[in-house]
Amino acid sequence: MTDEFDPALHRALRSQRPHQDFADRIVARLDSSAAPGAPAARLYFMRSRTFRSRWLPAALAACLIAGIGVVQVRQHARDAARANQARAQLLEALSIASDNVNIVRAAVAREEHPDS
Amino acid sequence: MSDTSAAAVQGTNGATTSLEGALARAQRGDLAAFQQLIRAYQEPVYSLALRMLKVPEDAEELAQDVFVSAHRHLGKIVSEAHLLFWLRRTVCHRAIDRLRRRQPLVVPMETAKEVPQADSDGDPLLERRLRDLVLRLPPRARAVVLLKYQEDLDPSEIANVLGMPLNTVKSHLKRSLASLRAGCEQLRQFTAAGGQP
Repeated sequence: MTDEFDPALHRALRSQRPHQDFADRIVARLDSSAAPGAPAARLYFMRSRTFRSRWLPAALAACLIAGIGVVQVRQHARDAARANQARAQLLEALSIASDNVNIVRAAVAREEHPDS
Repeated sequence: MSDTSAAAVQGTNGATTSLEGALARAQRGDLAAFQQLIRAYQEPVYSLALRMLKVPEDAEELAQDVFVSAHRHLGKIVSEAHLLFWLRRTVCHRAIDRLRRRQPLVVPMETAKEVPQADSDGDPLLERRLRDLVLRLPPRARAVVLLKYQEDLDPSEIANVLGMPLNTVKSHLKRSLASLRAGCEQLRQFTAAGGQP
């Protein structure tokens, strides 16, 4: 077995011929895409290994960061609007409370000095 | 590598000069010259794809893609030897990528669709068993074995083609050959005992 193993493996893995028109089909494929327009060029660029391995993850990360940024800005704007609304309500409540205190104080003053 | 391809790459000066000329013309946009290059290198490229992927249709598609890609990169190719190196490297890497994405290939010994082989002067049963066993190797180990036994490359050339350390190549070869030998030994014992493989 040992002696025949190497030659047998060589024979088992000897080259295979593709179909006779293999080269013709490739040339036809190249012919059909011989006039590369912008879309084809863009498609090729997007399919290239460099794009997929380097730029695609970077672009996805940039999109993710931009998305998170937009969400945070909108959240901040919502919080600021809510704070303004709360401030206005607080001022209105203080104003009402102040009016009530004035009315009570006037009533107490009238009780203490009915003649005046 | 096949005889014709080997002759085209390493053979007579005439053939080499012819391919160098074809490469130069192809780089200037001559599709007929590129077709000549395809014919010179189609066997190693298609065979590597076939032995890696097993399915002839997939192998042909991959080999075509590799040549189309080679056409786009012709400007970076400096010689016909460089072109062959580029083709081998690209087909191996793409086949490994496809195999990683694909479900593990299950190749039952009895039902595996056998690729028709040319007449052989050896033991066809043993050779078929070896091809099945090679298909069961992990993708990178399979590529190493194919480059060694189909393309007759030495370990340092295989390391260059696959972009892996020399010691890794040697380790893949050692483990894979041990596995193939064990599989062949099983077949020998089985047939010696009168069974069918």
